[in-house]
Amino acid sequence: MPLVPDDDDTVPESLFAVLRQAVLDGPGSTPSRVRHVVAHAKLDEVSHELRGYVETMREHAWRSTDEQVRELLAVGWSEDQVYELTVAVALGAGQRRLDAGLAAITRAQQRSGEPAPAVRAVPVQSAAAPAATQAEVTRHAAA
Amino acid sequence: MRLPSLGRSWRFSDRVKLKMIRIASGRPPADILKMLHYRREFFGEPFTAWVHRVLRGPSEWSIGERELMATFVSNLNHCRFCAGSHGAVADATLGPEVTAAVLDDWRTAPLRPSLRAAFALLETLTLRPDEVGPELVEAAYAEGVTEQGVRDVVHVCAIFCTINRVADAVDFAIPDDKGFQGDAYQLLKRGYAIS
Repeated sequence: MPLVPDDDDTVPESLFAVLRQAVLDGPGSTPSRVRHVVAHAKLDEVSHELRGYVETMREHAWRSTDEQVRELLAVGWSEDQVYELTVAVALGAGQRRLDAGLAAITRAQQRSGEPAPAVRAVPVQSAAAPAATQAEVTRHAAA
Repeated sequence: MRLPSLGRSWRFSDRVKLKMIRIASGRPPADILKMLHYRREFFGEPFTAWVHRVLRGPSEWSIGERELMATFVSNLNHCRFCAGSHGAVADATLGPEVTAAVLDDWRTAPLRPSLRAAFALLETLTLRPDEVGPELVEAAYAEGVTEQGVRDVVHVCAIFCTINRVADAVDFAIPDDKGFQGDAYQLLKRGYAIS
């Protein structure tokens, strides 16, 4: 979970929180809940054709192909939706590194016995219930 | 680009801006510029605000060192576009021999110890984020890196683990060396924020 100093909205952690809000919760063609699901790579909650794309993006995006994108468009996802989902997955991968790095800093502070600086946590919105989200993902893919 | 609409749907002021870039540079704007201006509120604006702060804002790392970190992470992620783009900036600021040495093996590259500790953290955080523990942070502290310096390293990693994936998924066109050098000049002169 990112840690944000209380009184400065120009620190990188705060700017990341603004980005995260825009990508996962801002206006878009894809429901926010679906963007959350792919960002967190909850593979068991996404439709089959999307699962392979999310997996590729998360683990080895350099292997993504024209064919993968064509398949998504062919089953009904619009270009706008594919773009949003792509950015959401990528941001999820970035956040995974951010969280891991900031957690390591916190653990180093704890081991040194120094008090942690005053921080507040960026609230992480929970994703939708699996069944509901699965249905929503499938519905939008088929729309 | 695999999503053609990213390259043709912009607000009027951005169409003018991208046209001016085309006229001034004598070549079409890079795909990443087109994408960042597409529905800019969704990704381009907040993303470049974050990037500009981390790569150009106050830091104990020089601009060249941060660009070298960006190149390193992009190379680990096999992102040819980002590695080439930021490698050109690192080349222009630190010299191409430093960039080449780091990409060959950061352990033996001619780096100050604090920067070498940063690369150790970057490598694990990029490739095996679940294995990052306090030891890598403490090793950086031991070489004189401050907590804020470590935070900056973590943010560089997060930024490029994000944009590398977008670049490869959307399949940005790869410029030639001259194109990368021209873009590097603009990135050093103007930075990253698009708003």
